[in-house]
Amino acid sequence: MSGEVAEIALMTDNLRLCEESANSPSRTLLIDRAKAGDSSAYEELIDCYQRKVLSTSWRILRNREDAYDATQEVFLRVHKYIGGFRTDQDFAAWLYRIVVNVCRDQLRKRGGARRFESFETEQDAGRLDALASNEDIEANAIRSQQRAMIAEALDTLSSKERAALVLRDLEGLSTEEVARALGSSQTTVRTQISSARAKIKQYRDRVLKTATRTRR
Amino acid sequence: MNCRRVQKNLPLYVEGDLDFRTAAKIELHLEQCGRCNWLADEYKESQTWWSSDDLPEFDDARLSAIKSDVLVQIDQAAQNRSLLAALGAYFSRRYVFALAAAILILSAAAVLYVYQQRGKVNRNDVVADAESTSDRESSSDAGDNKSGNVASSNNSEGAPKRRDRSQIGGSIHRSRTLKPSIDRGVDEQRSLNATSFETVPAPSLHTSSRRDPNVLRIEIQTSDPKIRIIWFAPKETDSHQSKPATD
Repeated sequence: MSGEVAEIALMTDNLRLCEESANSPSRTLLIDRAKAGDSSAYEELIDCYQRKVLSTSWRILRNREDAYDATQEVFLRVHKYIGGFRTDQDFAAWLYRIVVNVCRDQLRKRGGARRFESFETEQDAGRLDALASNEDIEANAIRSQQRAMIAEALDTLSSKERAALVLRDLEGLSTEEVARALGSSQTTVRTQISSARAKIKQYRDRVLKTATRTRR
Repeated sequence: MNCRRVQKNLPLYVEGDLDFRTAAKIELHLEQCGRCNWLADEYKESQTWWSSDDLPEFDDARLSAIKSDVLVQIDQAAQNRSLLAALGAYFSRRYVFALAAAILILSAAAVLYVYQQRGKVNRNDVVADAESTSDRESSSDAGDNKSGNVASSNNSEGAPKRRDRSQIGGSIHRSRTLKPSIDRGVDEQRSLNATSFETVPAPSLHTSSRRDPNVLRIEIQTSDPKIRIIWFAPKETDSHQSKPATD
């Protein structure tokens, strides 16, 4: 009983710590401890950022398995390079940079092969079995189709454009933060974002035109 | 602002990525231009379409597995840390690159130094060889002079017992070569020293002494080492004297 209480208290502590800003003193202390080789501090760091890293990876890669692999690789790289991290740097930007680099490597490895998840893939994985009614299944199918279309739209972008767009539009980072995370200038990031949005619109227009023609 | 510029900036305008002044100009244009306004709406719809996509559900058990995998791999890496990895931990990548660059530059400098030293040694050898050949040539010239039918082409004024130039003829045949192969550069000079010629009587113009200051002597070595063209001509200072008088 006392063990469970202690576990819950630790989880609450972790959540509180994760809610704090990346440059807060306690977070800085945690990073310093992790740099010094404290494995418990590194574990806390993983707890804090794991979901964030996973969601960003998924948004860039659009594939759950690839995103899990990328998350694992990100934390291995964080451990490898945390010695070179300076305390005056922005940890979140540094982490985003690693995430983007790992995702780029994954995309390169994947090559031209598209690996987004379709409705059938999710059905095969048994994720839809738990759904209660047919309506739920239908809604999920529509959502899955929508995801596949967005993944196809993102496939029309270069890896740099994709990363810039995801960080700006989905992660909600400012242009300056995106530039810092990608190691580019703000002008470059703006150009990439502008080009990426135009391509997404073009793809959507094309899909809508095809759908209208099919209906006729 | 014209339509073209507005349409170029629309992807950034729809999400508020432009500075205040540019955004205000575009806004003003959109109030007047129906087509640009329609395009702006299209961009907004496209943005809503693609960014409304929510995250899928992630498996918590999988996340825990990833975390424990990472920790296990880190522990293993710490146990199996090699000497190189330990060094890598102490030196950041920047230092390693700097060190590698320094080693590369030093090696290149060492190679260049050794190469230059070898070049110097070779040059010294060639000069010494040329000098010894020249000495031998001088001594052999002295011996040839006794035979009386071969003249040395050595141009050094101080050569002992040199034959008179009046005996050098128009057609020249090589009679003896000390060194069979003749190279360019320093070796060419050596070949000049090492070659003597068989002669036939020369034309009357060239029969004067070699030391005659009024005769210009030009030697041309052809690509064939056996053939050398020797050209005697009166010096220019003489030409105006030989010019017939107009009076």
